[in-house]
Amino acid sequence: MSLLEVTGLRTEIDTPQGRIRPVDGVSFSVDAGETLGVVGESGSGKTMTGMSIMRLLPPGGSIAAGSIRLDGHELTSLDEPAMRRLRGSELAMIFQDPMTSLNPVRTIGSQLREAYRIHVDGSRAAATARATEVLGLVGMPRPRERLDDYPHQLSGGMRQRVMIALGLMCEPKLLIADEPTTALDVSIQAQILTLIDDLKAQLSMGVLLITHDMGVIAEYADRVAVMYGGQVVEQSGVRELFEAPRHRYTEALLAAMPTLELDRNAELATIPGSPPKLTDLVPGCRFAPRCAFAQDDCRRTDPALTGGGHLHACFHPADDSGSTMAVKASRTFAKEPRGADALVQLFDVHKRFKVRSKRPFAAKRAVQAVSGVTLTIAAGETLGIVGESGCGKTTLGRMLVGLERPTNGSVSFDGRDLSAQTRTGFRKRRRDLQMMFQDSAAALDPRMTVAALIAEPLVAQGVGTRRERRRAVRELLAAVGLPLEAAERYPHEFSGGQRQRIAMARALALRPKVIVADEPVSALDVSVQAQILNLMRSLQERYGQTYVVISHDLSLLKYLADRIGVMYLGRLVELGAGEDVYNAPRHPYTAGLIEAIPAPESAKNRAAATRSTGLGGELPSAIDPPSGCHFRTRCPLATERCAAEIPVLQPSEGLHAVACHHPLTTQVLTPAR
Amino acid sequence: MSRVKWVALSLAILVVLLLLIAPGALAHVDPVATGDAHLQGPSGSHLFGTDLLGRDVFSRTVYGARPVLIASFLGVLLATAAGVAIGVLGGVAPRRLNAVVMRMVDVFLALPVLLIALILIATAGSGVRSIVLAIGIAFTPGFARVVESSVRRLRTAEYVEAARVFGSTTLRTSWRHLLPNLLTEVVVLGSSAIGWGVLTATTLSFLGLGVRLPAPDWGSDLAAGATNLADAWWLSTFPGLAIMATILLANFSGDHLMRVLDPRAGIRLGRSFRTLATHLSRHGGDTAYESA
Repeated sequence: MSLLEVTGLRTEIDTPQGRIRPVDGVSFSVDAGETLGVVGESGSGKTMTGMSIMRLLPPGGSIAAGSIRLDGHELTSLDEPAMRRLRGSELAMIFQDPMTSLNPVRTIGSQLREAYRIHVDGSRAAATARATEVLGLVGMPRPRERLDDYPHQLSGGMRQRVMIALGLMCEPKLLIADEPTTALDVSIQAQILTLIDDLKAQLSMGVLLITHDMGVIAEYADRVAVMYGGQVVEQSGVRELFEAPRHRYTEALLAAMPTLELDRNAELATIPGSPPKLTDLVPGCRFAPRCAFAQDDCRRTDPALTGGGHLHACFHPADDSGSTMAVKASRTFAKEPRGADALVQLFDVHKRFKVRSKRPFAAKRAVQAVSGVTLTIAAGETLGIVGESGCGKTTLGRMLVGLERPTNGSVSFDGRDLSAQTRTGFRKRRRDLQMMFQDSAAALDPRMTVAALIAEPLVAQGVGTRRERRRAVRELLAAVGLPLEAAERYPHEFSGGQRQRIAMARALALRPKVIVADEPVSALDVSVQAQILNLMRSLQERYGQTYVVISHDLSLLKYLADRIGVMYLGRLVELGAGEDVYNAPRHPYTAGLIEAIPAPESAKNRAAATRSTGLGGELPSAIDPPSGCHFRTRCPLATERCAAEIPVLQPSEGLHAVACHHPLTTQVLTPAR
Repeated sequence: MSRVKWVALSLAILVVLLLLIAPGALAHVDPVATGDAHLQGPSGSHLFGTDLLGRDVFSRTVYGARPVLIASFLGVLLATAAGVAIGVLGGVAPRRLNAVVMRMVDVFLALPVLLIALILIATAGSGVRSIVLAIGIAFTPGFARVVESSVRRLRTAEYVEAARVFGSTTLRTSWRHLLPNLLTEVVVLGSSAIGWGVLTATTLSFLGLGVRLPAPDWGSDLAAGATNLADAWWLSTFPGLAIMATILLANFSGDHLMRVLDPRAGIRLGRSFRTLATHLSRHGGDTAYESA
């Protein structure tokens, strides 16, 4: 008998738009000491499944049918007080954002003690002892002292450790981890997921790992359930799933991920359309409208899960016949010779932000967001900037488009220093430097129609007559693949992917020479990401603009960028051709970052893939960074020289450059251009 | 919005318009004309009863609406315009200028309404005009403060930064992005301020600083009835109820406006009126209730 058995679970929520079923007939089981990965896009019902087990449903939500059995006991028939006793003792849950899940005005210790004393009739001293023990268990350094800290005094990774500790206080049988690392950096993500994995074996818990990231599933789950539109569409062991996906959706999802060994010049496979809306579901298979293999039977009847050990709900499953989701790689991008002219030049750029202290007479302090970046960007190339949050990559991008002015150093465009120009002169210059923001929902004024939004840069710069601008809007809409009717609608009426297309059209309106894209796809579902990436590349072919893409995701940049720059705590530590940086990293930090990325490949060969957390520790504070090389506190190769002397990046003719006293490899594979 | 609410709100606004433009259409008796029936309770001939001088209370309540409504509407309109202008200026200004503007706003916020009204009446004489000015000046700092903090918040919104990236000037950004997105907040603030304006206007005339007697006015009538409250309850009650109804109406219509103005609500005035028109032309006027 399994630890958790869910059969035919159906959850309903009454909303103003009518009754929706975010979970519709879901069945699975989790054994003790096993991790079941639940993977799906936004709206697939994966979070609601976890919430249904905990019975923490939103207002208007209820479990309509099915059974949830924990250790043989039925949970759906329990009343609320009985459920409350189970939560925190038998069942525990970790949420995505550890900042909002911890109470900011109470100490860690008091929150941990509370979690214990609700369920166990023990003294305060016993609770403190238990809290210290569990904090030690989750790898918190000096746990005793940390008990008196408030959540804001800890870093994001440490807060997530506290959340896990909170869940483990009473040794639960089942841990539900809902996107436990989505808000964290990739190096911290690896640490946290490995921790959960170790604890699972140690305490023989069952773990339900809910995520949107196939890479995380591949490395940390034993079995997988793929969800789509509120249903489980495929369920199997992790190795079978990655080796031979049966459901067409899983297959397409795996093909749409930019992976390490992907050919740069091939177009990414995409899944057309966007995830289904629960308010208006089609009859039959819910994936049918987006599926290249859908037949009449798919549109008529909803396929049931079949197939013994490798369950799938598909009438025309993928087999070995070779035909895959047909949209794959229908074309390749021309390998254009990139111009060698320097378009943008950054020389020793610094940016300091003053930090105001709350105490009246405290010494003034400053955050060194960017310190001494020298960089040349060539016309027509795509430069990727990668690094963890807080490394200064976004500030660098903002300085490129003139949203921030450098404290020291210069940014010059086309040979002219931007900061030396007059205000009006600079405003005209902006035509050539445009930006795409991360969250298109926030970057598009909600009170303007799409036509007004796209035409706005033209209006602001006084380009063209009204009629010419209208024609430009029509052209741009067509270029980014949106229907003409979109012009009269408002941004909120579009899905995330479509909104990013609108943002792209607006960025292109002035035909800029440079577009800085700050995390252009990180807010999108995997199946939609590929569409936007392909669009960005085909538009570059058509209009020839230079991209500077800022991202935390190395595999994305490896696909998109000609050259990659790696930033660490305000400094550029490595710069080279994408292939080189990826295949032969020279800086220990880059090597650690690459190691920390959970890769789908590792599912096929779990034993051989030595799971490494990549980087230990966390990013030091930028208010007083370590002396010498900033990375030395986390570097396995650090010596005394690293503390005394700042390593310098020597950009020698665009070759693979590194700022390190002890670089990993010395060979240079290819010249960048 | 439900049909019942829609009809109720339309009727209420119609009544307000009549009170402002043509009070004679609602009350046929001269509000100033004295009669022989002193202090009569509500009856068929005098709906709200009569006062000490035998004047019709219903008629006085109807005619008394105009000064109060005008004073509060115009006063709040003045305060909104001035407050939004000052708030946006303070919000987009560099730090020094912002400090100067906002400290001046704080000083005005500390001035009591009564003092402002007394000074105005002493210099410009009593009457609706002075009350409008008093309300306008007294309410401006409140608007300015709220608008300023909203502008500070909106300035870091990504769509405002996006506008900077393609070279929009501060003036243009304020007009195209800041003002439209402040609209909802200003409307809510303004509609509740109308309620406060009505209270302030009636308080001022209650204290004898408003319109000159014997002209009808809710505040002064309320005051006049206060001494006779024990044996003639209707004197103060009806003007009081009128004040209450006005404040409620102002808040309801504010809430509704807010919803209509939000593009995310999907209500577009043009579209609503078009559908209404087609419905009417198809089924005739008697289905106006359903189609609304």
